[in-house]
Amino acid sequence: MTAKTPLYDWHARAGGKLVDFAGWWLPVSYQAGQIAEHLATRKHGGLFDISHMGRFAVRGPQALPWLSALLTNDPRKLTPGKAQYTLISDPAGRPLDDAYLYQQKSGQYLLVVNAANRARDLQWLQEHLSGGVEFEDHSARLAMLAVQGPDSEQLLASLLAEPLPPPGRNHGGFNRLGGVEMYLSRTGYTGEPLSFELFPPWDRAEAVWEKLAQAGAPLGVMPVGLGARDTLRLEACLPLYGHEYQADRPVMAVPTARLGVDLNPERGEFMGRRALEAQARALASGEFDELPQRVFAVAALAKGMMREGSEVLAGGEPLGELTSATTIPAWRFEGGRPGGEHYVRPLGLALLDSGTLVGREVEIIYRKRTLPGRVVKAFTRPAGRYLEPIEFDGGEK
Amino acid sequence: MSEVKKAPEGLYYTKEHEWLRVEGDLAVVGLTDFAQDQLGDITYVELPEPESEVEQMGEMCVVESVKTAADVYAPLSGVVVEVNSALGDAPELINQDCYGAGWLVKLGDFDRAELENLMDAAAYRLLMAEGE
Repeated sequence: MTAKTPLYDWHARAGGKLVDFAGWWLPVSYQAGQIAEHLATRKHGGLFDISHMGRFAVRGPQALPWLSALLTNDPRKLTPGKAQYTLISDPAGRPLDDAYLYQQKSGQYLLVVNAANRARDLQWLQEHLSGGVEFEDHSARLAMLAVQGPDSEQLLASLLAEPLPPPGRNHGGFNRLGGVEMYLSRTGYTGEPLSFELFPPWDRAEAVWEKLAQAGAPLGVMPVGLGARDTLRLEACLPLYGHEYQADRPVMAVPTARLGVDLNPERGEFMGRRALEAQARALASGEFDELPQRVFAVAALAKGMMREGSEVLAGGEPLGELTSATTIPAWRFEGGRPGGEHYVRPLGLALLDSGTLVGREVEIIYRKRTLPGRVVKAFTRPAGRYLEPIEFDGGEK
Repeated sequence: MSEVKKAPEGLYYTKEHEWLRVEGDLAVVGLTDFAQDQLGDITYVELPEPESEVEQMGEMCVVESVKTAADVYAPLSGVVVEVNSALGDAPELINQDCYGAGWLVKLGDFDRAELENLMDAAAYRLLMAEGE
C-alpha cells in the first residue's frame, strides 16, 4: 500500500499530480509545472516535502564509534550542529546507500537515507548493532521539509524564533517556527548555495509547511514536486542511488563519493575500508583496474533529447551510457543574476571509461538519432547566492 | 482526476490523442489537451520533413517532455505540407495552446474517406471519461 506523508492532503488540494514514488504518494509536479518549479527554485526558492526519506535516530555512549564503524565518512569530524555526506558501504566497497548524518547535539545523531533503501538500511544497521547504542527508526515521528534557493534564508529568517544557524553549508541547530520546535540544517540536494532542511514533528509538519508556503508566495518561492527535484539535483551533478550509485558498482565510481569517504589512516577500520582504498588507489594511479568505468557529466551541444540508457560514443567507439539525463531548464543570467529569459538544454550523468578526459567530444545516441555532446566538469557554478548555469555552446570547457 | 480535458467541437480525434482540423485542402494536426497534460512540460519536438509522406496512424513525429517521449501518429494518410517551425524554439506552445499556436503539421493530398476512421469530439470525450 502506498503511504502518505503528513502533507498528502495539502498536495492534493494544491493540484499536485500525485504518483507512487518508492511507496509514497508524492507530487511529481504542481499546477505550475516541472519547468516553472525548477526555474523558481533557482531564481527565488522552492519548498520540498521530503518526508518519504528514512530518518534513523542514533544515541547512546557508543553511538560515535558505532557510526564510525559502519559509515564511510568519519563522524568524529562532526560537532553538535554539523552534518556530513556519507555512505553505507558493504565489505566489498559497493554502496548500500548514500546518506546524510546530522549531529544534533552531543551524543545525538540523525541519519537520513533514501526512501527506496530504508527497509534494507534499517535491517543492515540493526544486524550490525552493538552495545551502548540506541538505534530507532524515527521516519514516522519526524517529517522532513526542504527550503532551497536564493531567497530561502530571507524567508526562514522572517519566520524563525531563533537566529539562523551560522552561515556555511551543513551548519544547523534547534529552532522554532510558528511555535513548533525542530532541528534545522543548512543542507539540501539541489546544489543551491542557500539551502535548508527542517525536521518538524510529523503531526505539526502541515502547519509549518503552510506558513512557509504563505510567506514564500510573495517572494516567488513555490512548492516543488519530484520532477523538478530530480532535474535540480541532476543540473548540480548530484548522484542518485539507483542511477549513478548501484548496488553492484564500486562506490568510488561516483566522483561525489569522495566527499563522503574518509580514508585517513588514523581513523582505523570501518566497513568496506580495504575495498574503498583499492578503488581510491586505482583512481590515483590512472590504472583503473578496480574501477574500469566512472561517472562523468555530459552536456549536449545541440538541441535534442537524451535520456537514461542512451549510449555515449567517442569517434564512433562505445564509451559508456547515460545514468541520468533529460532536458533541463536554465535562466539566462543578466548582471550576475537570473534574468527574464530561460532556455532548455539536455544534460546528463554518464558511466564512461575511467580514462575519459574532461573536454572530450562525444556522440549521444537516442532513438536512432545522434546528438553531439561534451564531457564537462560541471553544469553550474555558484555565483553569490545564485547557482549559475555554465553555457557550453561557445566552446567553453 | 475526474476532470475531462478540453476537446473542442468541429475537430476529429484519434485514440492516440491527436486532433485534426480540416481547413480547405489542408488538415492541421496537433496533440489534444489530454495528451499535453499527461506529457507534462514539453521540451523538444522532432518534426517530420516537409514533403514526406505519412500513412494513417503511422508514426509522424516525436514529442519529448520532461517525463517521456511520445510518438505522434498521422490521423490521415497524406503529404506533410508545412511544419510548425515555431516549436523549435518554443516547444512549450503545445502546453500553452495545443489547439492553436501549438499545432504540429499541416497535411495535404489526403483522402477524406479516411476521416471516417476518426472520432468526433463527443466520442473522444467519452473515451477520456472511460479511461479515467
